[in-house]
Amino acid sequence: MGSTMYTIGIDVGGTFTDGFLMDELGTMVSAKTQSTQEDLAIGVRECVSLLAKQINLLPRDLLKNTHLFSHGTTVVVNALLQYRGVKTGLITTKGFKNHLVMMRVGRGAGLPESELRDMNRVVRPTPIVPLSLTEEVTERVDREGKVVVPLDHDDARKAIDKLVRQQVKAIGVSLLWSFKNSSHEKRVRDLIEESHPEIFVTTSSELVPVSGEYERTATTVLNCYVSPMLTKYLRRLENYLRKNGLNRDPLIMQSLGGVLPFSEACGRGVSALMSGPAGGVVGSNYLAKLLGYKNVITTDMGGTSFDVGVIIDNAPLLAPSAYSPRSGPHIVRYSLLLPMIDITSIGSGGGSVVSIEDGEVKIGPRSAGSRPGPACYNRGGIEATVTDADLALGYISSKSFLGGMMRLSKRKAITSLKETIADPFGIDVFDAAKGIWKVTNSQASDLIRNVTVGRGLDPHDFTLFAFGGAGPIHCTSYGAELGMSIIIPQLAPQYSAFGVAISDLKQTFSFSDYMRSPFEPERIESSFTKLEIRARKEGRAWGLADSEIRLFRSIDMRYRAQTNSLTVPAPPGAVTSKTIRSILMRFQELYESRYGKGTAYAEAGTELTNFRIDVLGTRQRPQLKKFDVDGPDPSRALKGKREALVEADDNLGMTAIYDAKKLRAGNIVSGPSVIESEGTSVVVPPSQSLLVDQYLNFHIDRNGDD
Amino acid sequence: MRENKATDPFTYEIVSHKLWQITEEMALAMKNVSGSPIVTEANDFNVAISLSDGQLSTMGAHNALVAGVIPLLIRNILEDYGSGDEICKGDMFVINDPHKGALHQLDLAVVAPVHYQNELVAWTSVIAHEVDIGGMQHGSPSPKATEIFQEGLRIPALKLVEKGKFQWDIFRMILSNVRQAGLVGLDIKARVATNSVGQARLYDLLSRFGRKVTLSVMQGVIDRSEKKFRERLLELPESHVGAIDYIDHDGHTNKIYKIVLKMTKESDSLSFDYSGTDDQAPGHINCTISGLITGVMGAVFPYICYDIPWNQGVMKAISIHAPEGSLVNCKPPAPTGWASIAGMFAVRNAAIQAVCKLLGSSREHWRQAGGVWEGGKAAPVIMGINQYGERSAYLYQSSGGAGAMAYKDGYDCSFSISSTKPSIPNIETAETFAPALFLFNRFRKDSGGSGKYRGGAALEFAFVRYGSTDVSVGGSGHGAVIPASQGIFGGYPGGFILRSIKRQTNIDAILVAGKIPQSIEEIDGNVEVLSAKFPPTSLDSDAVFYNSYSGGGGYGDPLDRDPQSVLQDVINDIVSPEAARSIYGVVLRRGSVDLSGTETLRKTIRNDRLGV
Repeated sequence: MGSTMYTIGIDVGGTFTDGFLMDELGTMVSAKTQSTQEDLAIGVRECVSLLAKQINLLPRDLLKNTHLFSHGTTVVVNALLQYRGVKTGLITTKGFKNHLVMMRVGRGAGLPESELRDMNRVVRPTPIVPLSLTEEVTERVDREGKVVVPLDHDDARKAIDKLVRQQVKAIGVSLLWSFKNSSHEKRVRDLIEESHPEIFVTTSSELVPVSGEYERTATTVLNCYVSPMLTKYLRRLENYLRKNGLNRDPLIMQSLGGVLPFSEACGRGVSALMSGPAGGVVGSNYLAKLLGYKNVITTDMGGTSFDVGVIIDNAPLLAPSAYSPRSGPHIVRYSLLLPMIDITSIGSGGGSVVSIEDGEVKIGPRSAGSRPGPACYNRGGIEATVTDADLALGYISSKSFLGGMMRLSKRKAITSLKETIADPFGIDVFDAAKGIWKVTNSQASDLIRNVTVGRGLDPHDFTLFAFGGAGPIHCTSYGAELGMSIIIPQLAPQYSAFGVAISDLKQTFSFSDYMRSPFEPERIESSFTKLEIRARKEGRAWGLADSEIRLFRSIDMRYRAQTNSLTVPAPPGAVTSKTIRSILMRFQELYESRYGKGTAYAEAGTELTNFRIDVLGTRQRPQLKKFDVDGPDPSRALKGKREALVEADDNLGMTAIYDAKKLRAGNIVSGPSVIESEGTSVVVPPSQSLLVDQYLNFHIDRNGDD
Repeated sequence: MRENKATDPFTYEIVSHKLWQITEEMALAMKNVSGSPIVTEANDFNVAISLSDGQLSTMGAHNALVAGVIPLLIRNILEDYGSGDEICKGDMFVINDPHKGALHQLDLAVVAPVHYQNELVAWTSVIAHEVDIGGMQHGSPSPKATEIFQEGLRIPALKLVEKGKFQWDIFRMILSNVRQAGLVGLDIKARVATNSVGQARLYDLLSRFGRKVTLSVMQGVIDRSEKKFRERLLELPESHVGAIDYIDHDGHTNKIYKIVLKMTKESDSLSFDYSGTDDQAPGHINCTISGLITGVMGAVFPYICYDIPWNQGVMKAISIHAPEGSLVNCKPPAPTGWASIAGMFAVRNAAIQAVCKLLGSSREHWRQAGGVWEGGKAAPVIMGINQYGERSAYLYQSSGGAGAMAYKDGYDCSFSISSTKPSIPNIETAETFAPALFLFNRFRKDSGGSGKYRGGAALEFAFVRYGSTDVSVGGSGHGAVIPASQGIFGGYPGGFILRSIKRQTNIDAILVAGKIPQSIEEIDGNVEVLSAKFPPTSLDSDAVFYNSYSGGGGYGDPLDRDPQSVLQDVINDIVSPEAARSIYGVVLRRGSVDLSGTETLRKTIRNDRLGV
């Protein structure tokens, strides 16, 4: 395979670092290693070595022949959760220095529902920028962008000096209405750079020129807080990769669902917040397009959480914007204004601890993690977890867990279930395990309902993709409750790494310009033109020719006085009154399809809030390998039989066990059966069957139209 | 109390989670369709699921105030329509009469029966605050009102949907009587959509798990709360506790009204007796029985039931009394327009004081005791012609501070205790919708009640009219003469609400000179201090409007506060150096605490208190 070119994706998760490698023929290999929290780059290097070993190459020879190296990382999210960012100052408008700390009240922001009513939880997060590092400058711009009070340069210099004296390493500049007129922010930035070029500066008008000073400021200072350390990490990693033969720009996954060259990503660290989880959604969308599905719900059940994402018309749904009734994304309880793939999580995964509180059974959100891990890991854990129940029900094998990397103790699983759940309730262990299985799946399906119905979507219009270590085990149950067809991708346990590897270059530029109907076409066009200049510049920085840069326009719209906005695509070219009419019609269609006929209240008038340009750079990459259909009979993959829960009659029964590696395209496995692969199992319930497609993904169609 | 043998613990967990999930879906439906910033930004609404007799089983995670209201609304519907054939499958009732369960007319509820196998088995409901419901003033409640009839349309339970058919005649009749009819119309439709979701999902649940299991879980949720609550009461000392709260200004005269509470904790029950409270007022500060119950539960739920689900079970262990015709249990035609921020607030403020004295006397639960939260509201309505040339009224919601607790400071800028997910608008949002330019918006110095633990700071802001020549400001609140957030166990009360207009100012000259005034004192002109209630007052081009909410009550003696915390508050501009010295007895020198100076000063203050 000497001259072939490789595509590599490495995804660093909380517990494991996953690697994915594909050659030009579409042959895929994967690797899994423990994440190295003390220096995440070590895990990445190990993963590269493991991948190289599997194709009998040295890491250097692999990297030399790699034309796409993409990376998803938790480095940013960890830095935030552990408050390990750099000392950051804030410069803001005179009279408004409290707005970041105030958080628009923010008492419930980012808290789980279960904690909202507990007054003991009513505490502010440790501030990213304390008031002592917040300085005001005299200046004021109005809502039209007109200067009411010009920037007082002396004031600005004094503010900068004060922050510098306190040894800040980064300064966020966020002034009122700066997205309408950025001149004051730019001037402050210049003043900092003239006197202190070593300080990292982010202006809010450059990072997120969008209305809402609290969220804009929070996003700006969070960016300051994490970018210097992300830069350091990426430089170190890039040095290693280049020294070891990589001669292309390495890419990093962004929360938006696209990759950027390390060099472009360094200054906007906060955009890499969801770098890891975004991969699973992007990978699902790639596969959905290949298989001909438009609407997909992605479900990733790992060790600690259950993450749900949504794909509509082959576009991943983005988190709500500032004007949405649902609050946007949060991190350390601060609200963010960045476009990012919308992923909703609950603390329910394989490692989730099962407990009894006041006579009621509770699953999660606490996780046993990997240390001590579920009781069956035999590492000292005594509390029962979801994985222990799965093992007791016969759904996972004690021998082939993680491809045999780890042996599980069924005895420990049963002891923990008996002592912590079954005995206190006076029931037997099997009933306890069955109960845990049902509650876990029911809550997973409740979350999927919440995510879909809450966004005005009907789960029946979607296909369910299930991945992560525990997703394939539970999906046939939580998917069935919703009446959804299910796809379990090949490489489900390393799916995020796959998604990172095949991701395109992508960036979004948005700009707030509030308009009420009737609209002026010129003003709309000028908003787009301004954004397109920036977007083209970005595309060129990626090394694309102008003809390769693809731009997509969209507008956030809502009905007057309604706070629920939708993003509506807009055609390229000159904006005319005809264009506006067609956009308005598209908006009404979208609105009523989301929220029901008659909910559109067009008489109230329409408002435009944000203008957006997506810039996309498609990279050449190999096609997935397509296998010839082998016929329905899966018997060559049959490993044996063991007792497992057969859901139809709620009892244990002898169940066929298959080896995923030996299944071939066209095979049909009928339930009840369990398919074991490296890192997970798939449970096929009775009266259902599973089809292996030509890319070796598993399909389970919903039964009838229940 | 009866145990539910019909359900195993896992089924119970699954069904109770699904009940909660239904309230989530209902709340999302409301937010998705509603246009009201009160719903979508402030989360000032809630949804609930009740049993057929009106017992509240599960409510959404939004404004907790509905807990007191929903059972009353349903009881009134049952009384008016009988429980027989008149309540049909597919009906939905619209209701906002304060004498039929609503808090005030602005709180419009839509309540829907859920039938299963042709029998009424449950109810779903949604209540949200409207922007206008008619009456003598834009925004409805007016300080000038003398009768409930002036405060907007009063709707007893009417069938807005009858056997699945939307009643356009009733809808049109409501819209003919309100300002901003488009928005109100949308909001009413949102409530119908919300109940449709609730009815359909509850029906699915009944079909899937069966009537017996579903209803027994709904009852079980209530029974478990009752059991836990009664157990907690048994852990608290037997006691009689008194508390008094005040409301200043009835809209007509700046008179002070007294709300008197005697709370008795006996065995596993708790009673609240408001005998001795002043008679109903001629202005919009009264509340009906619904406000009375809501106020009591608004204290009991968060303070005692921080870890117990909030539903009817808790309410079963509580009895509430107030003389009919008193300010907190008024009779028609007494106005109730701002019951939600006056009468009900005062009931709650008094109940918080009493409940916290009880908790503070318990060895097990003393940590839960604290000062009163944001005892008085002070949200101004910005009225007139907006910058887009339209007539409008914009309620600018700002925020007060939380009461301190026995082990921590109150949350600065906390909003009302009853809202679990509150948020206030960005200034950029306020300036988009209201013809105003804000000069500052920040924590008000010394507004948090002093104490060993400090009450949360309130916000203060000032604005000038901007982009319009026709702008007025009006507002109702209380706590301008007497502080509304009492402290506890030596803690000081939170700061007053403060509102004023400075007229004939030099504000233009200041701005032209490149300065932004940071206090009302920096501006020349004539101050007009506004009382707790003031009718719409016009703003000239050179007028500056100033507004501040009430801070939270403090906990414990300020002389016991850690001097380093006082220093931090001074650095953060939350406490003034003067207050640090005179109230906290902390001596600061060049940005740090003078420990021995502080010790001496504190001794002197203590001796002064004793007169030695």
